[in-house]
Amino acid sequence: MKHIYLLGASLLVLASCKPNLEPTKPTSGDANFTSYVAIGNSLTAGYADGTLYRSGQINSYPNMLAEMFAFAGGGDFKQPLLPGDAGWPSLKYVLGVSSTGSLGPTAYSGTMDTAGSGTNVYAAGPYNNVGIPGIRCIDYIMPGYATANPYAARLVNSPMQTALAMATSKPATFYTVWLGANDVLGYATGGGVGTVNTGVTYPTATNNISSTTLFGFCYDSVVNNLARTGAKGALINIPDVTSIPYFTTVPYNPLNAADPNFGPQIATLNAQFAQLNQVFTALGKPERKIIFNTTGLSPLLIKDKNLTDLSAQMTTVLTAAGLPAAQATLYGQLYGQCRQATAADLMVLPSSSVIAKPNATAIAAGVPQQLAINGVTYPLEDRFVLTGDFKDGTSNVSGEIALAKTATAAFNAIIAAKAQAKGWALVDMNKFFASLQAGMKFNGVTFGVSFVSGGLFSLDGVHGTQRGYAVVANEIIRAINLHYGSTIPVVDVNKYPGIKFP
Amino acid sequence: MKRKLSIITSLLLSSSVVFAGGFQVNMQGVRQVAMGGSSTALAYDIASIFYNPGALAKTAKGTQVYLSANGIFAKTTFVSTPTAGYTSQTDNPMSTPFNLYLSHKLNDKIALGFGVYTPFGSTVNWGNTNANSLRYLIEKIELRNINFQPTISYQVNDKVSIGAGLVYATGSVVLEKGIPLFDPNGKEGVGRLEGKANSIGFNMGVHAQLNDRLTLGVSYRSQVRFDITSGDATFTVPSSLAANFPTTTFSASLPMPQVASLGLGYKVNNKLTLQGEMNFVGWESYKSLDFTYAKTTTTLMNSTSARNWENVFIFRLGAHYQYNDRLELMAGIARDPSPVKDGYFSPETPDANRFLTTAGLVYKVSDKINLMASYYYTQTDQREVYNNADAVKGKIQTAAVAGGIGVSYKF
Repeated sequence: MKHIYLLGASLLVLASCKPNLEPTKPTSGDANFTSYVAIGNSLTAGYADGTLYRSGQINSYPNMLAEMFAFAGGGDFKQPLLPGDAGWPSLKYVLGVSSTGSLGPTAYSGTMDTAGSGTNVYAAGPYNNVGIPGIRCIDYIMPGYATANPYAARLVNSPMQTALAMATSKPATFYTVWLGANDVLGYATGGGVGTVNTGVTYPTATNNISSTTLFGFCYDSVVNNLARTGAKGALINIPDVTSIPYFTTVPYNPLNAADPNFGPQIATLNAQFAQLNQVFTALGKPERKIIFNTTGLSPLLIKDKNLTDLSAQMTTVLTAAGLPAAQATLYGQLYGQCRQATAADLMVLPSSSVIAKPNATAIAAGVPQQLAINGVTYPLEDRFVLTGDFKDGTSNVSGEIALAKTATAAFNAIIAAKAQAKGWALVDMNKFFASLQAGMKFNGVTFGVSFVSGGLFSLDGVHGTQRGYAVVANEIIRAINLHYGSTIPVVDVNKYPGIKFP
Repeated sequence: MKRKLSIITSLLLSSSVVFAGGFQVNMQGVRQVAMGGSSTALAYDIASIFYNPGALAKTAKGTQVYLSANGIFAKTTFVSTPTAGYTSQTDNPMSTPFNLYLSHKLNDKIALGFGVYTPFGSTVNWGNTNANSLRYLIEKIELRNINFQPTISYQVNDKVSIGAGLVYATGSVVLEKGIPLFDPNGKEGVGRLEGKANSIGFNMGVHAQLNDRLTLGVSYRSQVRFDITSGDATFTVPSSLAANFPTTTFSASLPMPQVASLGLGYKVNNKLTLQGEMNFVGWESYKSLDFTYAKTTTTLMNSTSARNWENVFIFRLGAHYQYNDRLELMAGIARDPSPVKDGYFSPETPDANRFLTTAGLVYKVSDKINLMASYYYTQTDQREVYNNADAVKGKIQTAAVAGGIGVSYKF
C-alpha cells in the first residue's frame, strides 16, 4: 500500500513540473518614471515610411520606453493616435515590384482610413507622446507654429499655443527630449539647396540649417521649462544625418559600362567631352574633366554650386576655338559649374528616379535631348546631391556635407552642455548611429543601415522601422540606466514588425 | 509475436526523445533509471545489452524479452537579463524514449542479445510566434536516434564476463527557424531543414564479481557520427524573395559522443545494494554545427556556429532494496553537468548543470513476468547564458519529469 503513496507523489511532481526561474524586478534608481512625457519630432512621433500612421505611433520608441518604465513604477502612456494606417497627410510607402522586376518603395494603395485625421484632439489630452513630425528645435517656443504644421495643429489648444506650452500642460516626472535633427536634416535632404542661418534669424523655410545661436536659446528654454518642476530626463543628441540610407543608398558612380543603354554610348560621350576637357585643363581646373570609364562604373555628372562659375570663360574659350556662339554659350551654361561626383558626395534617395533620364524641364527650356540626360550629359541638380569637399585646381572647395556636420557638432555640443548643467542623462545617439554602420545583432538577427535590407530604416530612408525604433529605445534605456542607476529592461526588438515584402 | 511487433512499430513512430546533459538520453532501462541512471556494475536484467554488454552473460537466462518506455515532460524558461523585459518558454511535446531487448542464453558461457534503443535525442519547441524572441535562432528541433545492437556476451569464469555489440545507428533531424522577412500579411519567413543519416559503432563491457560484496563494471560505447549528406532545405519567404532562398539540399554532421563508464556495486546486506558510477561523455567532439547548402545565394549562405562543447563526468549513486520476494524498490541521485561552456548558449540545447532524483519499483508478477515503473525528476541550475556571436543574453532553467514503465518476460 505504501507504493500507491509513492505513485501519488510522483503524479503530483509530474503535474507541477515547471522551472521556478523568475525575472529580476526592475528598479527605477534615482529616476521617477511615474509620469513620462516624450518631447521630439517625427522620430518621437513614430513616423515611418514617409508619413505618420497609427501602427507606427503605437510602436513609437516612447511607447516602448513607457512599457519598460511600467516595470519600475511607470504609469499610463497616452498617445495622440491617428484613426488609420494609410498615412497622413501623405500616404505611406510600401514595397512594390517595378515593371523591371526590382523592389522599391511605392505609394500605399490599400484601405483608405484617413478620415478624421486632421481633427484637433487637444480635448482628449494631455498626451505623453507629444512628438511633432517636422518640428525643429527653433520652432518649439514659436507661437503660431501650429498654423504651418498639421501635426502640431492636431495637438494644440489654439493655433497660437507653442509646442512647449502644449507639451507641459501636464507636468511630468520624467522627460525624453529628442529635438534638433530637423534643424539640419531639412538642409541635408534638400541636397543643401538652403543656407546656413546665423544670429537670431528665424527662417520659415525648412531647408536651412538653423542658427546655432537661436538653437542654443530655444534648447535652453525648452529644457529649463521642463526641469522647473524638478523633473528629470534624458536628452538625446542628433545623429550625423549623412549616415542614413537616404544619403547612402544611391552610389556616386552608378553608371555601368555593362548597361546596354549606357555602355555603347561611352565612346561617343567621351569624344564629345574631349573638347570640353581641354578647356578645363586650359582654365586650370583639370579635376573637372568629364570622362566615362569604358569598363566598370563611372561617376555621375553633378552640379556643384560651391565651384567657381566658369560659364563665361568657357564660352569665350569655346568661341575662340571656333564653336558657333549659341553652342558655346549653351556649353558654358551647362558645364560651367559642374564636375563628376566623387566618393565624398552623397546622392539623395529621390535622385534614383531621375538619374540617366531626360530632364524634361531642361528640354522645355531648349537644351537638346542628348545634352539633357540627368547625371550623364546634364549635371544632376543641386537638390539631388549633398556635396563633399572637392579639390578644384588650386582651391579646396568645402562642400555641403561639411556644413551639415559642423552644425550637427555645434548642436550636439549645446545638448551635451545642457545635460551636464541639469544633471540629466545624455543619450549619444550620434555615436550609437555611427556604431550601427558596422551592423549589430539582437538574438540572432543581424541589423544594418543599408536601405530595406538592413532592417533598421523604413522605406523613406530617414525614419526607423518599428524594429529600428526598438533598437533606438534600447540605446536610450542603456543611457538612462547608466545615468540614473536604474535597471530598466531592454525591449524585445524581435517582437516588432519589419518591412513587408511583396 | 505478431502483436508485440505492432507495439514496437507504434513506439517507433511516436518516438521523439529528449534529455540528459547535452542531448544524451539515459533512459534505457527501468531499474537503471530508478537508480539514478547507474547501471554498469549491477547485473539485474537484460537492459545490460545497452548499459554493459559484459553483464549480459550473467543476466540472460533462457530466452527473455524486455520492453520499456518513458514519457518525459520538460519545460525550459528563458528570461532576458540583467532585468527581464521578455521571456520565452518551451512548449515541448511529451517525448518517449523506449527500448526493446531480446536475449537468449546459448549455453553456460555464451549469451546472445539484440537491443533497440534511443540513446540520444532532443525535442525542443520554443514556438514560432513573436512572443519568442529566440525564434530566429531556433523555433523547433527534433533530433532522433534509434540504435540497433546485436550483442554477444561471454562468461570467462565464475567471476568475469565480457561482451560486445555492433551498433547500427539511425538518426534524423528536423529543424525550423524563423527568417526575419515578412510577407504583405505580416507573416514571417521560416526555414526548415530535414535530414537523415545512418552510421555504425560499437558497445562493449566487462563485468566482474570481485568478492561476495563487491561488483565492478566497465563499459564503453563508441562515438557515432551522423553525416547528413542530402537533407532537404525548404524556405517559406515572401514571393519576391523566393529566388534568394531556393529549395535545395544541405549537408551537416552531428556527433553522438563516446561514453565510458566505470561502476562499483556494494552489497550492504541481503536486502540492500548500493551502486556508484561515473560516466565520461566525450562531448568535446561537438565542435560546431555547420550547414552546407547545395545552392547558395547572397542571402542563403553556408553557416557555421561554434559549439565547442566540453567533455563531462557524470556521477551517479543508486540504491536497490529487495523488499520481499516479489517487490524491489529503487532510488538514486546523479549530478549531470552541462557540456555547454559559458558563452556558447544555443536555444536548440538549452543546457545547464542538473541534479536529478529518481525512484522506482519492480514487481514480480510470476516467475516469468516482471512489471517495472520508474520516475525521474530534475530541475537544472538557474544559469546565466550568453552567446556573443548571436547577441543573446539571459538566464535559463529547465525542469523535467519522466515516468517510465516496463515489462520483462522469461520464456
